[in-house]
Amino acid sequence: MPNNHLTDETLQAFLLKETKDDSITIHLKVCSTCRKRLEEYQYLIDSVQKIKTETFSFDVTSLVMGKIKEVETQKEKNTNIVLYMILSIVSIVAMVLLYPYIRIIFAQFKSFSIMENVFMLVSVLGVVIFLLNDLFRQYKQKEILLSQ
Amino acid sequence: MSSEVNHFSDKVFVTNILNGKIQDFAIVVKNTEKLVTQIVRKMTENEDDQKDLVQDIYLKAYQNLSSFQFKSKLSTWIANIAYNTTINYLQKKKVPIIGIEGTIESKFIVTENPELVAIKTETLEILNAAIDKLPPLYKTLITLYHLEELPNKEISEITNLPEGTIKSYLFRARKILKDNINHHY
Repeated sequence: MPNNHLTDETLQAFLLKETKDDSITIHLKVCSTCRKRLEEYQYLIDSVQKIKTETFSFDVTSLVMGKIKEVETQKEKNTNIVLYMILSIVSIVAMVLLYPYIRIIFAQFKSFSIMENVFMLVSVLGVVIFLLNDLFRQYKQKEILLSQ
Repeated sequence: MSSEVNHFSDKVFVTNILNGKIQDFAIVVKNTEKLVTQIVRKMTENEDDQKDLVQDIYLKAYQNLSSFQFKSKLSTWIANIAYNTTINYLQKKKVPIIGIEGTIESKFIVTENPELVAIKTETLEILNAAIDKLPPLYKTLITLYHLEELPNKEISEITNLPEGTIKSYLFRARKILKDNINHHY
């Protein structure tokens, strides 16, 4: 390319209005070669803008949300496992620490009859089951509210 | 004004998702799908790889959403994740993202008096084929600049490349495409 012609970069910059150098305009008025090259770039840019944008052959939203739900479910399972392990450890530690006192308490029950002991046990279990059930129900309701 | 609206809606979506409203992420995916498609499709043609990449990209966006600081648009941030994830994928596959300078250009010589015949369909087909032959990074830059009409500043945020480098790569890519079209006519 002879040195007195405009470079490809200059032509492109001029076309895309990235330069406002008047000498370019003056050169283009007198140089048919550079004018032709400018037209070629104009044609190229016009053609590129007519190309249809591509899409994937699969549904991106379904694929992504499916993956996220899978990851969230696994995360919840892992959290539950850790929670149950902590509760188990705390329960075992509590029982070990409270064992001397439990022995004293259970000794008291020897003075009651079997029926009285069974009645007390069933009442305590009933209250515990009722409370746990209520807690679980409230948790499920909150879960539904959050997922809406 | 429209950028303020975008920022506001980005904040609403991000806040909702971080508060557990996972369904709002589906809206974010829909809004950014086109931009992510342009980046991933220009870097790889294998459909299975595209599926893996798309899942990876959006999973990273979802898991790191709390680190998004609203310094750019949410779409730009996700496009940056898309670009980095795809580049890492290409690097693992040892695919050069820029290619060797001169190998494509040297095959095509601009004739002194080329005649540009205005056969629109044929030109678009030739152009599509020429764009497909470009190195992955050049293809992505051409798409982001001319088809997505993103400014150089935003392309710089997506690709982590300086604006000067982007301009330079775009100049080279356009020259290669022009030479390809001239070769056919």
